Amino acid sequence: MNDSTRQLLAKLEQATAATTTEPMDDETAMLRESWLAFGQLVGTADTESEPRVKVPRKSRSAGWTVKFIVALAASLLVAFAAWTILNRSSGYVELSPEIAETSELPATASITAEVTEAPKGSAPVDVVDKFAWEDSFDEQLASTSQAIRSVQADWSGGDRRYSLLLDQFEQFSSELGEGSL
Amino acid sequence: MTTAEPIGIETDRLTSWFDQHGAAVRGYLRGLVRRDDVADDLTQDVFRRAWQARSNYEEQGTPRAYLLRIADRLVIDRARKLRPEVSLDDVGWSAAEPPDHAPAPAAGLMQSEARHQLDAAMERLTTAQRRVLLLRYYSDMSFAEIAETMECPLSTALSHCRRGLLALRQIIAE
Repeated sequence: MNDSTRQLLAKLEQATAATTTEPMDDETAMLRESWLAFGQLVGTADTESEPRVKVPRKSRSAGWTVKFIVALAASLLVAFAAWTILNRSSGYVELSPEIAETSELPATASITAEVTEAPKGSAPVDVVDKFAWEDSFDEQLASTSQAIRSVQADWSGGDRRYSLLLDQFEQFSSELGEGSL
Repeated sequence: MTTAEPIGIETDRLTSWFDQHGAAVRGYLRGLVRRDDVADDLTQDVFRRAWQARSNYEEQGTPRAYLLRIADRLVIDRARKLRPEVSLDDVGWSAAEPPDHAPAPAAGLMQSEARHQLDAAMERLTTAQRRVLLLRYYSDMSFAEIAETMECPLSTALSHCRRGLLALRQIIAE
């Protein structure tokens, strides 16, 4: 950089500085005046001149929403799996007729049986599974089927009686037609 | 290099750049092309380029200088492409340009007058003078950085600046 370039650089840096308090020569002052006028012109023209372009902004809540949905789905999956396992375990108990025999629970009792045990120190609770098999149902089924059969027999008998009545009506009608009555 | 940065950080960085330097980039482009619609398009291009080149961005200098260099390059490229057409269509485009921004009547009048004066002044400057003055005004670049951006020697950039200021003095005095 030669001297003239260095001098010009110093002048222009001073003339175009944001603020300056240093004394300046005539040419620098003139350049400064032009620079300030230029700045005022650009500043006035730039008023309300905000860019009207759109920059995509990142949605900050999107990541958290996705994480929340994933966590919710995972917890629902775990809950469903646990429910399925427990339900399957209790299903064995329901189908096992031994559960109804409260006096002789096997040592390998199922989970549900353990759950339904009375807590220690409290009053004993009867272990009754409402879904357990009962022999009285057999009797009820037998009596119900018997009742159905009797109803069917009565219906058949009624049918016969109805046929007989029809025959009598027909006979009455024919006699009425012949004028024998 | 910022190749390993997550995309969220890069998005935040570009968003903050836009908030802090978008008006300066747009003003610089508006001063060079003297058309609002083109300035808007080019401003969008500047940030699009910055986004595309985000993996190559290096923390050297200021973001504003970086963005203004992209803007300057885009204007030069556009001028090269449109050089045969600019002189033919410039008047027509200016006449057909729809009014925009619609500020309050008094402020709009003052702003419009300032724009006309600025456009008239810029019209009488050479492209190199416009570039060096606008880069100096909108960026915090040194004259050495401006010369580097303009791909010319420092003495040439200084000369453009001095002549531009002298021309402006004459234009404003008229």
